[in-house]
Amino acid sequence: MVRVDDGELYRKHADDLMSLATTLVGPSAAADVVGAAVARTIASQRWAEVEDRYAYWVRAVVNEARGSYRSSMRRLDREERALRRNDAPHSETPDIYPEVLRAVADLSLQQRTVIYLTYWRDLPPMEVAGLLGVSEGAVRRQLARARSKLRRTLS
Amino acid sequence: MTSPDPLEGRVRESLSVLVSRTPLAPEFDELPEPVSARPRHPVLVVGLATVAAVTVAVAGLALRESPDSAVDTGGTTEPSPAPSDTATTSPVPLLDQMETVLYMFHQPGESGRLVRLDWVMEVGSSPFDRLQALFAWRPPATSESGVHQLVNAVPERASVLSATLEPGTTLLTVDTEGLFTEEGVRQVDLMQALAQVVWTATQDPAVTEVQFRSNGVPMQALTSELRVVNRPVNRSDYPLGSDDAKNGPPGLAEAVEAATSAAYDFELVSTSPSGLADDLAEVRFLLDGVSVTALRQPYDVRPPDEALAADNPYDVEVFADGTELVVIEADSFNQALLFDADGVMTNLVSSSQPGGASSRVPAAALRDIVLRVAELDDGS
Repeated sequence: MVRVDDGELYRKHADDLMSLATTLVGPSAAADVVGAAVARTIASQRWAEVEDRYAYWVRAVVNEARGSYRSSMRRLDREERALRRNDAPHSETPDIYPEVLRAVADLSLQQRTVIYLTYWRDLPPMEVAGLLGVSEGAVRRQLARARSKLRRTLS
Repeated sequence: MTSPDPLEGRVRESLSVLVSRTPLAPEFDELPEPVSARPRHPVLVVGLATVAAVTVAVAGLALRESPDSAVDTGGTTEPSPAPSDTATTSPVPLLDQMETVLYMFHQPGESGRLVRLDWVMEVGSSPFDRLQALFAWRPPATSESGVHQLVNAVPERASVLSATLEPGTTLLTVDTEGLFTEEGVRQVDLMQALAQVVWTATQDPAVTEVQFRSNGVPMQALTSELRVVNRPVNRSDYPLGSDDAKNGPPGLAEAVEAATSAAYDFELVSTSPSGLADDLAEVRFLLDGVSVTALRQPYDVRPPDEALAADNPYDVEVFADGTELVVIEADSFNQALLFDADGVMTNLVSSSQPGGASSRVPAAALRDIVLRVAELDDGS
């Protein structure tokens, strides 16, 4: 089987990786996270043996996001508040968004990843599990916890 | 037909707000160079040995020997880039890592014992790489693992400039900066640093002896008896001690042995005492999947108050330095240490497979139990 060129593969999935990173760490850190994650994987000795390179990149992005997660959460919160202020006169965002956004921001990184893949990418738990390299049960548990947390926060 | 979940709708909407802020992806050819990370976590400490206790004077002095032609070890003539201060993370599984052995002392001064510290590092495997890791390693300020008791006799200001294998020999020439100083350094400290270098470098079978240089100038060495010698040195110049000494200080060996690798998200699945003896509760750990690197610092994981609820999976709370971290991100862990409220290690939980491991602990102490996951600070 011919292995697709890394650059081509990256161009194909870059937007997905960026939206994942944005969800995890916010827009200002997303490019750094994706860039570092992809560069690191490609430079690794094992890269040539990786079969599902896209899944590997997804995990790499999540891993890379860990380092800046806590600070990014604070930054993201600031950014969101600033954006809401700036957008306020023209915003079509219903009033529920700030609290929902905050609730999503309160999720753990993994919960957030699962939420993103499930509700934004519409992937079933089995596929999420495949991407993240965890069991389907783990995905379901994370999802259940995330939903429970969101429900609690928003109630 | 089921009605749509309002929560789901709100989450989708909020995600759309988040995702709508996604900036453009960097171009492929603009991706950054990968950062080389500093050595990561100690994994295991195995052996203990001694270097003789000593007193007296005089440090290593410059020699008249002229530099020979030399070959690289592992192609490294120039020093690699300095270890990055950036706390890096690695995708799963840990990439480009290898275990090596660094030698440290369990305490400074004459009674210091040479301690073998198994270390996972992300650099190459040449003697130069190992020595770089040795020079960079610093113990964490505190640790429950005992690693903080270790001492790196190599001064922080010191650096290894090159490590070159002499052609056709097993002699490694190590050029350093800041290791040999004119004054202000106790002889025993220099001797210990040299011992660490020699033991660390000679783990490579291609290296049996070491000669030192300082900024290119050949240097004399100090043996464990603090004898100044004008020749290459080897492990026999820094002999291991007695069996008693090998045992090390009480508790250190097992504590450090248990201090292990990266530890990530895990679930404290059940703490139900049912079915067990009255004074025991079961703490079961489930491992989820992949191995990744999380926060590079020691952190504690404590079950919330509901921890005593039977058979009820829940999130664990994560603490570092007494401050709660909302997030523990992890997919697996290799080992976790179970400490009681006094910080005494009560058990080591270890598993590499989903399904986890069980540990029985005193039920009465359960609320106070802190799970300390031994992702050790690297001193940065």
